[in-house]
Amino acid sequence: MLLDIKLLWRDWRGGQLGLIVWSLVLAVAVVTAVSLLADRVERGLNEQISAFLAADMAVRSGIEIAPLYKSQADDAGLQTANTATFVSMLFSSNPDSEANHLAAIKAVESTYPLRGELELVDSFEDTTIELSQSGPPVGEVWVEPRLLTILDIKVGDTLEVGYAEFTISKLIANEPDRGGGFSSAAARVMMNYADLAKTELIRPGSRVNYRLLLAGDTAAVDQYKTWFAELDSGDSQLQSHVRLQTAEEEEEQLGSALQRGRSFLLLSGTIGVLLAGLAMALASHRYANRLIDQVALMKAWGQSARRIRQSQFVRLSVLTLIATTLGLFFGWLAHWFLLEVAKEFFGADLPLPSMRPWLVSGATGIVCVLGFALPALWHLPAIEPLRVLRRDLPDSLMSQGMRLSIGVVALLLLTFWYSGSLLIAALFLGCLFALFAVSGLFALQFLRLVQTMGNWRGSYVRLGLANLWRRRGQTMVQLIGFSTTLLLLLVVTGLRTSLISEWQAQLPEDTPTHFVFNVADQDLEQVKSTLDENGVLHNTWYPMVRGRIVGINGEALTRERLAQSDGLAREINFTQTAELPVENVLTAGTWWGEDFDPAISQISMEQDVAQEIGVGLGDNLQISVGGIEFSAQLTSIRTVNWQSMTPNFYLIFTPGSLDKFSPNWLSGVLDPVVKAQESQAPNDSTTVVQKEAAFVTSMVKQFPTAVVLQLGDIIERIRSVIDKVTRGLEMILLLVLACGALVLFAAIAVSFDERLRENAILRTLGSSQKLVFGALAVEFATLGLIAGLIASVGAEIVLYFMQTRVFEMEPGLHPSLWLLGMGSGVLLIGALGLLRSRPIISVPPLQSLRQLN
Amino acid sequence: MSQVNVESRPATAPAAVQTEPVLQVKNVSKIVPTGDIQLTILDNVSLEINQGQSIAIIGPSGAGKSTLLGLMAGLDTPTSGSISLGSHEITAMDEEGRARVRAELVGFVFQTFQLLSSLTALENVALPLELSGHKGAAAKAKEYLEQVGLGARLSHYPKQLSGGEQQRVAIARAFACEPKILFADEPTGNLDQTTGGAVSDLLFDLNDKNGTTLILVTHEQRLAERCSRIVTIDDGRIVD
Ligand SMILES: Nc1ncnc2c1ncn2[C@@H]1O[C@H](COP(=O)(O)OP(=O)(O)OP(=O)(O)O)[C@@H](O)[C@H]1O
Ligand SMILES: [Mg+2]
Repeated sequence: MLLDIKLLWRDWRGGQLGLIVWSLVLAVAVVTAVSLLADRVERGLNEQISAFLAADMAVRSGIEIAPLYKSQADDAGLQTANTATFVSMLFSSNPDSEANHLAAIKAVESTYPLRGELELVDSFEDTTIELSQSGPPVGEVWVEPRLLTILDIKVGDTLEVGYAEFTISKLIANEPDRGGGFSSAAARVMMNYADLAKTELIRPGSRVNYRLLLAGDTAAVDQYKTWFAELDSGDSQLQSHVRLQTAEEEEEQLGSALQRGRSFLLLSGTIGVLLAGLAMALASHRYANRLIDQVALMKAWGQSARRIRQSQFVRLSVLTLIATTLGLFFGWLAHWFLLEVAKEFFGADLPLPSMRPWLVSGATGIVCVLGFALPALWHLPAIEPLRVLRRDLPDSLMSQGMRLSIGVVALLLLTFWYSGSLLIAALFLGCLFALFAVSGLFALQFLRLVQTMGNWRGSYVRLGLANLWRRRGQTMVQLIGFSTTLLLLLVVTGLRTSLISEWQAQLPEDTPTHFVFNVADQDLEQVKSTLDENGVLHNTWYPMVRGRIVGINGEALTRERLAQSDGLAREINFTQTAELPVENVLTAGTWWGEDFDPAISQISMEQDVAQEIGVGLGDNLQISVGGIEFSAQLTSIRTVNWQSMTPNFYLIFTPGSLDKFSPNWLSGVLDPVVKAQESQAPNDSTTVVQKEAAFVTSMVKQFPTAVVLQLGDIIERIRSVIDKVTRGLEMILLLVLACGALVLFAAIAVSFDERLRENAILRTLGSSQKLVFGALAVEFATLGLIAGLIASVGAEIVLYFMQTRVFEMEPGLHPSLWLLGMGSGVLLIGALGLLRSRPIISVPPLQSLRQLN
Repeated sequence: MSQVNVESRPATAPAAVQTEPVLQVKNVSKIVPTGDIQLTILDNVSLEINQGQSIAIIGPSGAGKSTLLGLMAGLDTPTSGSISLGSHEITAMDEEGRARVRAELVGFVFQTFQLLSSLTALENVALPLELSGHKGAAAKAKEYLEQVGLGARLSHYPKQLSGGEQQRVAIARAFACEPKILFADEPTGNLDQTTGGAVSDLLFDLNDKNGTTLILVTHEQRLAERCSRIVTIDDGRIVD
């Protein structure tokens, strides 16, 4: 045992283990980093869920919650707290500032929060956190610190919300029901529920989320749940607008989303494992060749096959242990970098990871050794002692096909484990291998081409290219490893750097710059004239009410059916109009035109929703708006261009149908000044801080209920999300790229002795060191160029599909990616390759010959 | 280079020359298939060697000397015939059994040295001792390396040694195990006269003091003549 460790140490010292160990370390590190991240995010979100209701459960609704729900809770002995959240435009009370902000207002009863605590501070500088079990008193607001920065105001200033004025008394460091953090674009302003009416912001049709928070002992909670479920099965009209939110339910939903997220991350890490496995297999093969002499000798000295297998086992186990531990450590280091990115989404402190990622990664190490290293070493104990006398004896090596299958099985096992689905695992590996095959095919063609080119170039070019072709097996392995990784990196980079701006640049000239909504009926004419005064273009205004479909052909919707479509499960925006909106195309039925019967409401529905909820022309739909029901007939189905960045609606009614619900008005408007600014720098993602359009300030001051959203801001937000996600992916892919480098190293190592001998002979025959160096440089640079080329072509194809399918835009070429791909290919492979084969050039020829025998 | 001091060797167990055969080869043939034809490398070879004897096997290149040596050492199995080492009939044993016999009785010096390139001279010599669980392997290895005149090159790797030096490491390695029977394939093949002479002094000293049976394959007349017996092989047959 000790002796075996000593032998292992000598193997390491002899440089035969380095690649195996580093491949293993990297494979484990990639998986560790990714799974640690996934686990911490997952736990963080789960933790947030249990606190996120700030209660045990909540009744949720888009309209004010009927008193029945509270009285029932009181009867059951539950604590209650009403909350309402909505967005509203706020502007600075600082006379020097024009700033405004679309804030997330939350009105809470003083009993809030029922579970968890509010974390408050007195000022920016204040670091002592004060915990509070109740919300702000009447007349005061507590705000998120960044609002002060945005609006250039301070604690103690007044803040106008709607038509009411408040004093900012405290800053909110954290609130228990902050949610996943994805909605964090709008800063929080918290006020007392009793102040809500004073703001006059809540009008019929306003988009408000009401919640009745409930908490109490288990019996009371269960009793309430039962009561609610009974109400569900009855046909109370009210019930169709409320939903009971429980922690378990949320957890379940989040759980499956997280599972998907985790397997996606781990699968991208699998590419790294695959490449590292390839490197490991190559290196192990070489190691095994070196061990043959040792084993034959040991056998000649009378060591039994069992003893030798035991020795291999001990060595491999120690190696696995050390490399896996190192891998876990490096993975743990790397996960902090990934965490930096995750922080943007999930807040600063995620909980510590569980044991699972450590186990997954540790097991990955073991599976890698079993799948990639062991097959190459398996035959060693069976080496015949006679080999010490006759070196030409066959070494009963496991067949290449066998080793390949074992490797694939190991990968399948890992991907299956990561994704929890054999189908995903098989599909993923299938795609990956298809990708390999295609890039391999490309690579071969390029190599052919390049080889013929070598014939009419200078001597070291010819030599270098000839080498590439002669060792095309190895060349292909290196090409495939590198080009795949580069391809993925280029796609991600392309996504991050160009896709959004290209898409933005392709938006039609008349695309609105802002959306104005929540404009009250009585304000509409004034708003229009304010816009005109400011030179802002606007034409179609859509009246908008929020409601939901509650029945089809007189039949109430069952829970199962509700779950089928988003269009049924939640409240959606309705409008009424006489004209078919632009970029809408009828696919069935007829548009009502001018002469329709105002007594009968008709509906035109978006095609996908109609399919999802299973309705067709002639069906009668029961609609509920704020608890008031009416029927309408489906007379047309249309498609909508969601990319058009103009107001779009799932359901459009005949004019007059929605009048009684006092709709709010919505329109896309175009401010030529902003338009000019945007078109000046459409590709510049740094122009985040745009000067606020002049009309916005006067609008908000005049009409507090109106909300103005700048399209640029929305796109900017999408861009920043994509930016962060792709940055995280890039980091993982860089680790994967390092695995690709290992493949390069392993392939160089395979041919190292041969190269050493050839170059020694060349140089003994009088070739200059320059020639040898030049040939190597040409070889690796060409390799890098081809890898970069394949990657660029592949990335361009992937991006083409993203552009046409996902973004539905005009596809275009990305020359910068080509440059990046080929440039990084040449530099990376050239530098790494030359670095690794330095001894070939620098060791004097005689010495290298002697080293070889 | 060759100040091999035979007198300074520590006295080991006194030689007890025995007369019963320690190695018996009976009607051994080795036939290997090469392509379509069966190639007969050894043809009905018989041989008996007593404990403590030294014997030189000579013959032209390709005669089958190394093959015979490998068979006698239990590294290979004959096509027909039987071989006994000590009291064990190794031709009736399986590989594991032969391995035990090799571990017990046999030491080698290989024609191609068979040094492990990733081990230093000292480690190369110590390795078989370590494998057999010998305490103080390094000290013993050092002692034998000094005896072959390589005391100053303990930590050198094979590639840093000349061919002759490598051969002496291989010899030290075989000696260090103090085997009952030592098989040596061209032990002085790469050595100059003086060093070669010193190495053969060592060999016969071992034979003398420990009663080690020496079985040498050699082209060198001088070395062969020091042996108690010379067996000539030509074309797979013993010619006398
Ligand atoms: N397994 C084998 N297959 C084919 N030929 C073999 C095999 N083993 C030995 N030979 C051949 O048998 C012959 C004898 O080989 P051996 O190595 O025993 O010769 P040798 O007498 O040691 O020669 P040298 O003095 O050159 O070392 C050679 O021609 C060799 O090529
Ligand atoms: Mg020979």
